[in-house]
Amino acid sequence: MANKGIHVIEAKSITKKFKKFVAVDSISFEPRKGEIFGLLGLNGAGKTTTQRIISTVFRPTSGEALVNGFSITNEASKVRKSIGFVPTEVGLYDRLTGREVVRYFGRLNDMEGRDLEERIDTVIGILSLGEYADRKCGQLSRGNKQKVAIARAIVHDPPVFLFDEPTSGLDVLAARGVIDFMKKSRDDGKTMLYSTHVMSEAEEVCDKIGVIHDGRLLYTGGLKEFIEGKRGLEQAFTDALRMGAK
Amino acid sequence: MSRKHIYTVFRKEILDTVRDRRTLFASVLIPVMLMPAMILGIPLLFAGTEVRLEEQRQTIAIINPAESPELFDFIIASDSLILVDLVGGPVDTVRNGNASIVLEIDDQFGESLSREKPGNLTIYFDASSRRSTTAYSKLQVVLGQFNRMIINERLEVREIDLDVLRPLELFALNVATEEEVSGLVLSLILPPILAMLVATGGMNAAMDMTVGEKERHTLEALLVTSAKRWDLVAGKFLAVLAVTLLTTLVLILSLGFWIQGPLGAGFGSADQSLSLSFSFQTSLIIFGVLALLAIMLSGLSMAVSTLAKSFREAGNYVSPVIFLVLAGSFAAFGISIEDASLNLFAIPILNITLIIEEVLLNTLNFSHLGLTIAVTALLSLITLYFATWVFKREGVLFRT
Repeated sequence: MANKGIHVIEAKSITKKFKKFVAVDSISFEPRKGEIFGLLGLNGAGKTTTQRIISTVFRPTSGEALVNGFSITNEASKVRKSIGFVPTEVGLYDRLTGREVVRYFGRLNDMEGRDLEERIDTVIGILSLGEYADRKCGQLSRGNKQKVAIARAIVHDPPVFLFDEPTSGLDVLAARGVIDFMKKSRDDGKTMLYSTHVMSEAEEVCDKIGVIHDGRLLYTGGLKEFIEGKRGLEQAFTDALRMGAK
Repeated sequence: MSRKHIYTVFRKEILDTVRDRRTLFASVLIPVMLMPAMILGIPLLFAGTEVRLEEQRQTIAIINPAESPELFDFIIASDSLILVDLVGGPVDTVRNGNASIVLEIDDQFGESLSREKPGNLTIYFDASSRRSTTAYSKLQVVLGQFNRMIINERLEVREIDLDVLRPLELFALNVATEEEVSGLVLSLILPPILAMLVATGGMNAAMDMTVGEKERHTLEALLVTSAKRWDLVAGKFLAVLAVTLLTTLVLILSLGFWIQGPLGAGFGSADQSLSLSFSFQTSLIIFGVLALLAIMLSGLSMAVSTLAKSFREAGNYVSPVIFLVLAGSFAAFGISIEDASLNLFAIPILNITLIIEEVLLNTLNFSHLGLTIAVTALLSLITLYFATWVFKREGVLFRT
């Protein structure tokens, strides 16, 4: 049953342990439809593990999450149809063209024929990949590779985007392209779980944020409330970490 | 299970592999095409060397020739050895290569012979030299002829029929056809090579499609598609299998080419030339048997490659697989195919090797073949399930 509630992602006390190491410790957050929820934290804070749990790559040790109304533990395949996941590392097949990569993932997400080809053209257009789409991925710049990675993730037009540090390693222009795309997608009603440690970008695009540190959420709520009385998100974030550390 | 997903993965992997032409040619097709030539060529090289040595005349120095001019003339007349002078002592002459061999005629040789007593001869040769051992063999033949000549003379003097000393006259008739003899030779050489090349043929592809996904960081995106893990594994498995089967096909064609063409004729020893043959029917059956091996090894190499976190580590993991294939195929050397019991065909790899031997010897036993197919199919299923299980393990997929 998709889209039955306002909260498109509902993470409830998710915990993930790797043997004795607690990577994510009972975290909860609930982005609404059409919101960008920023998961902010330092390297190793637990952002990627959280993304992997929500995307069903990892099973939580305890807790539960619903994505688009589907349980990540019991309805993993329905969750996967509902998400477009862009992992931190831009991994592409160097010997395939961007279009072929996107087509491959479209087919694996049950699209085919004319619908698929039209959607590929649309996605290529949205991401301004036109002239690069038929070049082999191994010949693309880092920025264009990231665009192919995003195209691959959203080709099946999912309602939820999971972006794990999508601007990492990109130059200013390429990063700007990704940020603009996220904003446009929000306007189109997409919900996003967006991990980053780049505070300026988070401040620009996020509606809500969760500050994660050592696997624990130190703050969850609106961005405006979080930075109220501070010089900006960076100061608020630093203060939150100091408080959390105490 | 979704056939559409399996086909999608299969098609992508084949496209990706075909585009990697350099690896495909350098590490798969070229070795497969040339390896049979190299392996078949080595016995030919040895045979060629042996023929050359037989055709050449080696040198001999004779000590005390005056003691038996008759023997001296007999050796020189044989035309298989050339007389040279002794340089120093007999040992030094041979060791320094001044003569391939030295024959020392005893001081009492002539007198012993005339009294019809054994005459002593000493031969100095170098067992570590092919030239010297060949000369030794030739001298033994010449001395044997001289021995028979003396015996004949003595018997004639006594008016005794020569047949008295020849109670047996042997006539050995080889009932095997040339194809069967060819099959025996090929059954000794080919099974381990075929098994090895099939084992290595798909390994590169197996590593690229499994641990390669980890190294390229493409695995995570793949795992969040609608395709189930089984579909991903099955598609990749079929692609690895297709590459392995292509390798096997090229291997069989290559063998056929080398055996029917440049290397088939004049095989065998210097005095027993043999033409090797490799019929289309034999090729077809061997391809079928090797396809079984390919199925099993494709699953196994995929499973063990998935366990690794890098290409380099995967190389370490697949080495024992290659070792197992080698051990299994070489174990067949100790088994006479006529006496091979049914139980032996339950042992993986060894059974494939034995079946190939049976095919080459034209003695294929269908219960042996049936058991081999059953065992290989079962193991293939196990390796596939293992590969799928590995593909579901978070700890294995995201090792860092």
